[in-house]
Amino acid sequence: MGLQIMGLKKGQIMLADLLMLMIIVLLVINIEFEIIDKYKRSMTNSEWSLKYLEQNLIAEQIISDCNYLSEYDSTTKLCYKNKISLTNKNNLKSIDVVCKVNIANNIIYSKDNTDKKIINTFKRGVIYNNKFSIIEVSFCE
Amino acid sequence: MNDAKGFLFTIDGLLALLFIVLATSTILDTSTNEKNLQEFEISENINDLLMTSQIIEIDSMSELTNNYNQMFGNSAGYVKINENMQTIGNTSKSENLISNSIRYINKLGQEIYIEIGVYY
Repeated sequence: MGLQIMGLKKGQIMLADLLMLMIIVLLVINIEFEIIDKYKRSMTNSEWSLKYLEQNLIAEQIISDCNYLSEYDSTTKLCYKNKISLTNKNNLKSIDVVCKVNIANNIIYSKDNTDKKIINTFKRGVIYNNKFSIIEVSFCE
Repeated sequence: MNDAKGFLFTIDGLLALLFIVLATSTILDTSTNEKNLQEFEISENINDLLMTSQIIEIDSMSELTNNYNQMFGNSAGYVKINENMQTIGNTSKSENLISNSIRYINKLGQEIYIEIGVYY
């Protein structure tokens, strides 16, 4: 009788032990999945940040490079950052990812192939026609 | 004695797995930089306002406030020209501030100090 009780108690303990182990393993697997998911999201976020910085740099180039929209003074031979001239606006075609440029809500450049979706727009403050204006540089997919 | 060994193995296994989880999370954790990009964009726009103010030699508070509103919309902040300062929007709820200033000499030879701050 005493041995039977001992055997039953041992079996119960083993079962409880196994059950506990299974719960713990499942819990750990669940946590691992959450961590991997978080990591994937952070990687996507990093890629997005890099793309954002790249587009920001292009927008910066558009308003500060005389080959694009920055004003060139032939007397001083200086290129004025944030001062806009539309003389070279057709050169914007060479930047593939830029699909639309607005100044003070007027479209000054729009890509011919307009079926692409705009993914990001950068707002910058510039001088246009001797007045403060907002330039919006839009990027497509 | 053997039963106790079983529990001990389970606890041991649990500790090992927890260690693996903590180690993995520490290695794989990368901080989000969305906030940094927002700060970068605000800072860039403040610099645009300051630079353009210098180009067209702004010395009027209403003109600078108007430009601020065009640039930042409803975002709370302040503009300062020399000793005059004007707050824009409700600044009491905001915690973080980005500001920058410029000092230039206009065509009349006067020194103009402009400061712009944006809460976010």
